[in-house]
Amino acid sequence: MSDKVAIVTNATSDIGWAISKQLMAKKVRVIGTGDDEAALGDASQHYELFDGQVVDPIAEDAVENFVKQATDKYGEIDYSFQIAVPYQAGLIIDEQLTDWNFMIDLALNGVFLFIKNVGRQMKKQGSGQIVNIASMDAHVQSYCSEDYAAIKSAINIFTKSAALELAAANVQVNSILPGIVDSYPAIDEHSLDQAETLSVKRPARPEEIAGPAIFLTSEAASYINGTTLVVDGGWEITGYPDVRM
Amino acid sequence: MSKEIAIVTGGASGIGLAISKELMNKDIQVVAADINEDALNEAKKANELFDGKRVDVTNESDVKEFVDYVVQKYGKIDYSFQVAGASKSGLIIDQPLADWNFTINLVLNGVFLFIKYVGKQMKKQNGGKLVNISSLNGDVPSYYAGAYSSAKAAVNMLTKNAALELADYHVNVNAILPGLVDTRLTKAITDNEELDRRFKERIPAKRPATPEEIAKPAVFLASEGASYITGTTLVVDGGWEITGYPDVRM
Ligand SMILES: NC(=O)c1ccc[n+]([C@@H]2O[C@H](COP(=O)([O-])OP(=O)(O)OC[C@H]3O[C@@H](n4cnc5c(N)ncnc54)[C@H](O)[C@@H]3O)[C@@H](O)[C@H]2O)c1
Repeated sequence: MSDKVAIVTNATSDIGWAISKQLMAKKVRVIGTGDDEAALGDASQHYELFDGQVVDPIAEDAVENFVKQATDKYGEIDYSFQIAVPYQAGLIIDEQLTDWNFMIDLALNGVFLFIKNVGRQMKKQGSGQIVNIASMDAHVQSYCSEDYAAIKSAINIFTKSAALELAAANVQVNSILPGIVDSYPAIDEHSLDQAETLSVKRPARPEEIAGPAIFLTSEAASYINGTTLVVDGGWEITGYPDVRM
Repeated sequence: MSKEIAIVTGGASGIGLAISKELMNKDIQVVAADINEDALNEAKKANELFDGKRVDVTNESDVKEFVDYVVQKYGKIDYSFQVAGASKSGLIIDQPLADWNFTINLVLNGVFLFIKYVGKQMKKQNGGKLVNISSLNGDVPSYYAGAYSSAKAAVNMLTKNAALELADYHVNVNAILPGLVDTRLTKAITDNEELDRRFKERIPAKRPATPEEIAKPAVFLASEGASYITGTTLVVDGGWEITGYPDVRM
């Protein structure tokens, strides 16, 4: 059995769960976090390799304690996948500051706190692989998703900063930029219409995002660091941002 | 299940040879197109899954004949890796037009011709995967590489354009952008102690990639696991791009 250990945030979200399942299939132990206590408990009960718990991603103490406890319990953290899921649609001129702040907190600050604490531990180990799930919106803006796009580009550049800082400690940090995934929080009839504009004419299955994410942590990706891999079925190249909701 | 067939241009040396080996390890038949006949013969002797022909990738009739040969002999093309490349370097204000033309012709036109003829076949098959070996220089300029960087940037855009056109036929087209790789092509750098030190200093990984470290991501992009990846570029550079390296002078 592999004695590798992975942290997966939002582990019971669709992409998070697809990553968790693929890791467990490779005999990697998954320590999953999230806010859905029932789902996390259920997964822990059914999967021997899954250890789930509720962690508030924006409470510094909670994240620090979580990483400390995980390290005490399992020895080291080999991989960490940060999956931030919130999405809200709206126009800039109508958006409330509180909504904007909510998004920045959950999606961006959460990633910072996890990388800060996991990065510290990996630096100590002298090894580790970190993957952030950002979004293709980091490259192309679209109507009604300005906070989402801004946050995802911030995560994108933050990924590169973390890679630069941690490279000397033999830690790799990369990100995946998914297009539409068929579990997407914002998926509805309209987004399915949008899928018509994708080169491949269908949203991704969560497994199609999980596979590339796990590839980035594999031995085959040993020279990949500080970069982003777009997994969008050719959406970016169609210049989709002029689709309005 | 019938054997899968892969074309690898520049398959007799460096990154192309590493891709060929990676494919043969997966029991895939490789047909290499390379200008170096001696190296092709050597590779053929080493592995019976390696077939190869002398092809100049800049010569349209060579390319057409080669693709016809592969289809006739093996019936289909599942994968095609466009790897062949080299350049004549020099400062823009000093570069002879002939050197510029040599580089553009090999780096850009060589990829165009393969996508054109292999793409036609893959359209017929209603499926296939194309992977181009571009370069980090397609994203970032560097001294003495005006022609090479411009041609690689064009390869990146050609990759996206081909992905757009061929998506209807379930053909994925992507590119790998390697940083510094330890091959024949970079011997001028790695054999020069002072230059080698200055390059490595700037690369966060502190070493060039092995050809295998480029081959594996390239083969991943052609795999089932990458089914939703098309029209994009993957940088494989040991973190070099993020250091803003282009101000290294020789
Ligand atoms: N080595 C690096 O640091 C590096 C970095 C980025 C990108 N690349 C790219 O990787 C690719 C492979 O380079 P490599 O480092 O493996 O070099 P290499 O010299 O080892 O291999 C190149 C191969 O291409 C063949 N070739 C050259 N001209 C040809 C032609 N006209 N027709 C057919 N075949 C031809 C050569 O015979 C050789 O076998 C190139 O496209 C190069 O631009 C290399």
